[in-house]
Amino acid sequence: MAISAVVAVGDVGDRLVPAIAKRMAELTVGPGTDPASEMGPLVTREHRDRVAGYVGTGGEEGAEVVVDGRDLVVDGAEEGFWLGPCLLDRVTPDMTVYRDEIFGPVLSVVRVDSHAEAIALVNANPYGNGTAVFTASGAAARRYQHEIEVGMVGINVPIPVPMAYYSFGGWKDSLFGDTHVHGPEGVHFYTRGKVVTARWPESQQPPTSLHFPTSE
Amino acid sequence: MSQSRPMFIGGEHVTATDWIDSFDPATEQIIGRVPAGGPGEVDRAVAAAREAFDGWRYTAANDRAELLHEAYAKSIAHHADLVELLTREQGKPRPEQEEEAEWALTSLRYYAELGRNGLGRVIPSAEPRTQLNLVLKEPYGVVGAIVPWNYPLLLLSWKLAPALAAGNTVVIKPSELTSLVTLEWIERCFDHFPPGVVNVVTGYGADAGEALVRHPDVRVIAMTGSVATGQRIASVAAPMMKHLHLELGGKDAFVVAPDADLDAAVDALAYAALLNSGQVCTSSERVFVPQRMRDDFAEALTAKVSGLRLGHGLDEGTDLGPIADDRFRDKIDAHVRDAVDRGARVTTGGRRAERAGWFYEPTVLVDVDDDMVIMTEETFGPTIPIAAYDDFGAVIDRVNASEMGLGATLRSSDPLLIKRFYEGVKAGTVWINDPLTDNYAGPFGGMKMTGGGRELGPEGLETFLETKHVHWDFDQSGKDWWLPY
Repeated sequence: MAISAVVAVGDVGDRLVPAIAKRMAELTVGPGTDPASEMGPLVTREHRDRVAGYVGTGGEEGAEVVVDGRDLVVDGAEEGFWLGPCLLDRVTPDMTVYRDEIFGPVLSVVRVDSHAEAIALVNANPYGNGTAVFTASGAAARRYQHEIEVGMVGINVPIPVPMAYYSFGGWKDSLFGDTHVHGPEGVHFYTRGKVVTARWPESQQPPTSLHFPTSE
Repeated sequence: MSQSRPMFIGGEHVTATDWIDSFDPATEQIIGRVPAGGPGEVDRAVAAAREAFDGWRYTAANDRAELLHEAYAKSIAHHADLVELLTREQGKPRPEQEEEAEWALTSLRYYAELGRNGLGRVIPSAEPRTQLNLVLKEPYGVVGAIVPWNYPLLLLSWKLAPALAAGNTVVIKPSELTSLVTLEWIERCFDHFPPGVVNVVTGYGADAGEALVRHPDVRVIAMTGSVATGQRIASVAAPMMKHLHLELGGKDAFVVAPDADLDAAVDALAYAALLNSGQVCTSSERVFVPQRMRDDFAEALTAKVSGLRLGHGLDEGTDLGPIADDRFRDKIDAHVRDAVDRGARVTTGGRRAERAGWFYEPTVLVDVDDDMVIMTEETFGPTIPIAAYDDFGAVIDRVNASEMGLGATLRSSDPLLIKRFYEGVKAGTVWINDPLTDNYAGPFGGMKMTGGGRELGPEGLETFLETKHVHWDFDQSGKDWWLPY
């Protein structure tokens, strides 16, 4: 997914942000080989530093750093490329943390007043890989899935990776090419159609007309 | 090696008061016995299947697929024992049994994958902003599978695998002639399914079969068998509007076109007519040869057929096994007698074999007329009646004169004749040059009196699914077309 941002509609952010912060505090970060670990390290030191840098940048640009994972120490693996979960609230679309793909455990919360504004915000982004809406309203979900310009939509499903009988892929700048991968579109990409038009004339005389066959 | 085998109901072994002996048709010796189940055992099995249905229906299709793959793996591990028992109880030569077992097993894999790729549809709504319209494919519930003795594992798997993949639970009523091998397969290779998902009730058709068809909780009856049994099932099920899937045998024609290579056609016909001693629903039972080729064709066929060896299915070099039951042998002989009485000539065979076991000699008849019993009723034996024709157009009418419509074969390389044949013939399967070959993805079934059901292919899964349309409006407010006007 290109960016990880939560768009909080109306006053839901006031309840959502503390709840996310609480869940982040309970998250066990540690080596992937430890069965108790829920989240592992980042892939390289450079990447960890880059991701951690966004937390500072976000704060400087006016976001509220609600959870800061930069000081995380993992006992017995102090040299690992650790970054705890980070939560930035009151992020706006002009901030670096909203525009760039961070690719790390940094979650931004953008607050908007209405459902329509949320859809417009998501659609204004040049990327359109995956998105999710969380709602108990079927009508709101229906409107979201119709109007959103994104290739994979989850309704109360956070990471909307489809089952294999559909295909995986985004819209707009999230896709280069004309088919998605995985599933039937993946098969389509590696095959090409052949149309055979056959005729077994009853008489042995050659056909006299020279036009294309039609279904007249 | 006589064995007593209990039924398999709700994961438990169940016996009944009376037993039915199972014979080796090649020796007429008893090889085992199974309980003679009736309405009580059927009630118990249907109750188990009904109780298991809710859990099975909501088991993820992916998980159902894995369980079917596991049944396949167990069947492979158990293959040699299955083939031996199948040969002893059913009779046809071992190479044919191996082929049957292999086909039965691989259809488990085919439907495992088809089941997990099953899709409904989302269709356009009248009011797209607030409405969602879904077409769902749902399992029926409890399926009753009534299975014949000629291919007891294969024809069971064509019902069982798609029914399970679709999310139904199943009560199997095997033929009393092949119940041992059915129990062996189900008990050994399907024991990892939740109890009640797969059940076997043994017994006679008039007792166990009838009770299964009558049971109000059985919503689908899938049966391969005779027209008479199919008619009986349909009449019992009609008041309850059950979904029926019937494949009722055939009187398949084998047509040799004027351009056909004679020797190759003879070889193809001998296979198509004598496989499993002719006890195949798609066995070639009527042969039409151009008048000018007739004598040469009959001579070559007679030479080929008279060289075939009868024997026990387990013996090396056996080409033809016995007939499954002495009653069926009497019927075959009656068809031959009728033909001979009315002027047909037997060029080889034409009688019971002089040896132990219910063997009938492979038989070729010439000078047959289309109205002889052997050309109109299903013989289900190793008989090849050859009729002659002059006009290819007229022969298609003669093929269609049968009230059955399962399969038909043409030997030809002329695309024009081939197209006329496959368009003109009323049959569920048309084979050009390669008779009797099935394809998992190719729907199998009949037209006319053969019944209209289809097994195999996506149609074979659809048989066990019913369609539901969901119209969902998210908008609770009133509509302007509601009362009052």
